[in-house]
Amino acid sequence: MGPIGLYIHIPFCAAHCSYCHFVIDLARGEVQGRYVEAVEMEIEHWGSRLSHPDRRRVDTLYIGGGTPSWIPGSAIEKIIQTVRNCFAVDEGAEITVEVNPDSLDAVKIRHYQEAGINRVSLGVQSFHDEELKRLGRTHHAAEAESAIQQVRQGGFDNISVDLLAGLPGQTVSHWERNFERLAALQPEHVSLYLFDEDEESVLGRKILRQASGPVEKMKPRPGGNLPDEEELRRIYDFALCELDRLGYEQYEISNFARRTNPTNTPRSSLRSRHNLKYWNMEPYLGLGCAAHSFLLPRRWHNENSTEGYIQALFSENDPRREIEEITPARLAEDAFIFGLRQIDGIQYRSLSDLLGREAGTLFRPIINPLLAEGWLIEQGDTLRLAPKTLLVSNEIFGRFLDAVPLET
Amino acid sequence: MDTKLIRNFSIIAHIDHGKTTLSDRLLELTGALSQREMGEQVLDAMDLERERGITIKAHAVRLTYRALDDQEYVLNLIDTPGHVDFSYEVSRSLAACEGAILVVDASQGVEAQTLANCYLAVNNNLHIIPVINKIDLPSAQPAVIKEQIEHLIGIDSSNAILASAKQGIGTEEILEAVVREIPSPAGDFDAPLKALIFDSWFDSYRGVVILTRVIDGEMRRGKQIRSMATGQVYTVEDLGAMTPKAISLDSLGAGEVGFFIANIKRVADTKIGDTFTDADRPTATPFPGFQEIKPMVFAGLYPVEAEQYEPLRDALEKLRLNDSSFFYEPENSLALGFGYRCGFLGLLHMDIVQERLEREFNLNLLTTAPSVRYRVTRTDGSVIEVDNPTKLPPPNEIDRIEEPMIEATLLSHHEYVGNILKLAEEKRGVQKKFEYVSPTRVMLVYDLPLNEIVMDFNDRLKSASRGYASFDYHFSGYRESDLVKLDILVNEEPVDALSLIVHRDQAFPRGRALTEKMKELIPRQLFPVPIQAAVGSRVISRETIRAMGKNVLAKCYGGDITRKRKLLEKQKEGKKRMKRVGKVDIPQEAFLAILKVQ
Repeated sequence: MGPIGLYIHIPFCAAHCSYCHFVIDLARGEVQGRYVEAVEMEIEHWGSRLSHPDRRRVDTLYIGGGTPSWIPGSAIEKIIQTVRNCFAVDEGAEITVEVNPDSLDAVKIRHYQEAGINRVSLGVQSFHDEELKRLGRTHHAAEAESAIQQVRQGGFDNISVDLLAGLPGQTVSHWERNFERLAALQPEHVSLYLFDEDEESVLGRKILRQASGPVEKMKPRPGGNLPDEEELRRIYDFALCELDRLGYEQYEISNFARRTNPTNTPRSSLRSRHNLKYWNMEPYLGLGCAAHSFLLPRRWHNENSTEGYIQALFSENDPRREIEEITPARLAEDAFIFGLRQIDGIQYRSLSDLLGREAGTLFRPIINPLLAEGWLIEQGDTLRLAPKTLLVSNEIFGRFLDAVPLET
Repeated sequence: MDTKLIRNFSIIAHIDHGKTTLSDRLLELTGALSQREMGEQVLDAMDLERERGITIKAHAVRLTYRALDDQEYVLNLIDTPGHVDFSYEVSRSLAACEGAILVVDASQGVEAQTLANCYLAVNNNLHIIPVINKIDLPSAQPAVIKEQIEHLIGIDSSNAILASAKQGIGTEEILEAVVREIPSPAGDFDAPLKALIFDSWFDSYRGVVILTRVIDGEMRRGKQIRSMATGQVYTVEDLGAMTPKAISLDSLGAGEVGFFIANIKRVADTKIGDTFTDADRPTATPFPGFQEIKPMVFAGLYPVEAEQYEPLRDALEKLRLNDSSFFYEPENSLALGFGYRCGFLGLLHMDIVQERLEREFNLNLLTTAPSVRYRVTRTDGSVIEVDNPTKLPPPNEIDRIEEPMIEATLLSHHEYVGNILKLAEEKRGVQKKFEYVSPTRVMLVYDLPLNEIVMDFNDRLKSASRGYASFDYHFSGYRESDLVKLDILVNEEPVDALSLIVHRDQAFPRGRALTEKMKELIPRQLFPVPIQAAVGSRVISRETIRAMGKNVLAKCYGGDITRKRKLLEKQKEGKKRMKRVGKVDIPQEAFLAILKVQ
């Protein structure tokens, strides 16, 4: 059993961004203090519960949100210290914190350094002020740029930037500016997310209403002010091309890492090691409200509401919800569906090890027609998505569901 | 019973003109039910009837009324279904009566359905009592309505009763008119039994319950009776009347109306319009007018999920226990899988059956475009009947095709006549009559092909007249016509459930409209999908659905694999509700759209 990844959720935000699906909380001060206490209690609980030495080993730690940078830097430092006290954090562990450009300052950056954080993920979303405003972001493009520089000057050499494609009114030409800024700022990692016009975010709901009127709200039609599918494809293809030109390798549908040259960087890769665990069915433990965990044979998430979570911890109740036993069939499907999100695809051999049976033969009736139609590519022990599949990958993934009869 | 004290009558009215409310008032005033016992609409028992405000099955209620002459009368109120689909049942119910109350809405005027049923009543020699209802409404125009009644129906309306069933105005006057004007039944009590069947239903405890009007003779418990249509002999086990609660009686004599039970297992064995007679002393001639009911409209009913095929079969069986007027047989569609071809009396009947299947049996059904029954003469001289477009022989084997025709009567405010003429022309109608029945009201009579009516005629007529035109029809025979089969091909494969038989002149516009509609309704697939309309091997219209551009989840929310899975599962559920034809997933709406395109 290898080391695990730790995720810690900080739900607090300055404002509710209109595109966001996350569980967030606008509370301040006292609630934040009690929350941090509760998280520390949960860290301690798991530290003693996972007595197996490997399970206590942590090689990635990810503090996400919400907006972790919205709470005091000292609180983050304290949380990480508690993790170190209760778990065996590897020397070279990847420790990431998510920050927002407008809630970052020199004091926080110093705390992050002190805590041993070595990767900073910045929620930039766009280098266009107008788009940022529409998203309900509280920062400007210029702030984002200076934040990146500030982090860099603070001694961080692994910076990730989030960008959002497919926003209302967005065209390929907007992206020219985004790439111009990326070229200048040279972050080590870029996540390129596609805006979902669904019911789960304020902006998504608004667009659905706009696009189709009150009656058929679940059917967005082209013509609202969202870029249509063809424009979105152009944006995505343009982004792939530009990121490649700027020296980024795509390693997952929406993630890009700067290519490394062993002679001038000590690291072999700038891919997010924590996120790789999600796609490779490696174990992770999520702490804090709404955090998700995967420790075989179970998946679960914690109580979503901040208060409910705090109450549970303070009264020594289990904050876990929807604990699911992962059947072998379910694990096999997940392993293919999420493994294939990676550009390198999956290795049958390692999946066979995970599943304890021949992964390649398991899904053969699903895989072969997809190979024949050119949606998947198989080379030796590797199976991966064809480039044309990336943007319609859900269609392909859907076929892996309930496809193989497996005893549970 | 002294027939002098019996009155058998019906109420004829258009939907919403107040038949049900008036029936309730009559029941109330005669004390058949106390006001407290009366739910709204006592006579309309089925949920569906109540919701749609129409009567599907006929009923008969026996009322006791002490008239102003101080005599106590037995009044049999026979309720009739109001819709054209059930016009044969209406005619048999009317045949059981000597009179009818004609109810006309004081502001709406005479509608086509009223007219058709009224003609039926007149043809059955019924005495008609005109009642102008909703007289309390500010828009009431009794004088205009009286004139319409005289003009359209040809009866004296000077003594028409002004009523408001809702307010209880005129109810007693109506009852007095029934007693005074409607003749008491004639009939020979000593002659052999002659009993007309006008309704029946299945009761799970007692078997089939039959409503009858005894014309001659007497029906008694224990008596052997014979169906003149089937020759079957039964023993009367129980008989009585509905008051509206069922009460047992010793006998039903000439002139009386009531129910009997005779250990009959299937409603299909009790044919509406049949005559029952004494088994050992049969009457010489049955009551005239008996017909086998023939379905006019046909459609495929398919379970959306294949597992529901057997439950659908069981449901159809059960439904037929109570409704022998629809028929069904197994059918197989390449696109839709296993289902049933069903025949119905008309579109409303089809709707009702489908709705009952879905509601009472919890089935999720897909109904194909309705078709009529064509008569096809092959080049070898043989004649076949085709009620499913896919069964049409190839063009080179067809000598000629005949299609069923109807004579339709339409009544409308003159303002909408222009629209209606245009619609009738589009539907290949031939005008037979154009008449102003009052200064603002026009009656139109058309010969129309039935296949034009089953598609979307009713909806179109409503929108052409803002809902004001009314419409009724009867079957008038077969006529040769230049008909072709229009096929829709999705991704180069013909989809049998989308085939239509249309007039050659309409093949192109319909083909184009259908391909456009399909393009709108079929979601994008992973590859471009051509949609073609073809007559024979000739493609007359083509559209292409572009390949899907985007279906991706761009972010994993903090390891929330479950959420992503759920989205994929939802997507899969959505696809399950579609029908896969070749490689293309076609949503249910696409199969229904065929009805909607103009």
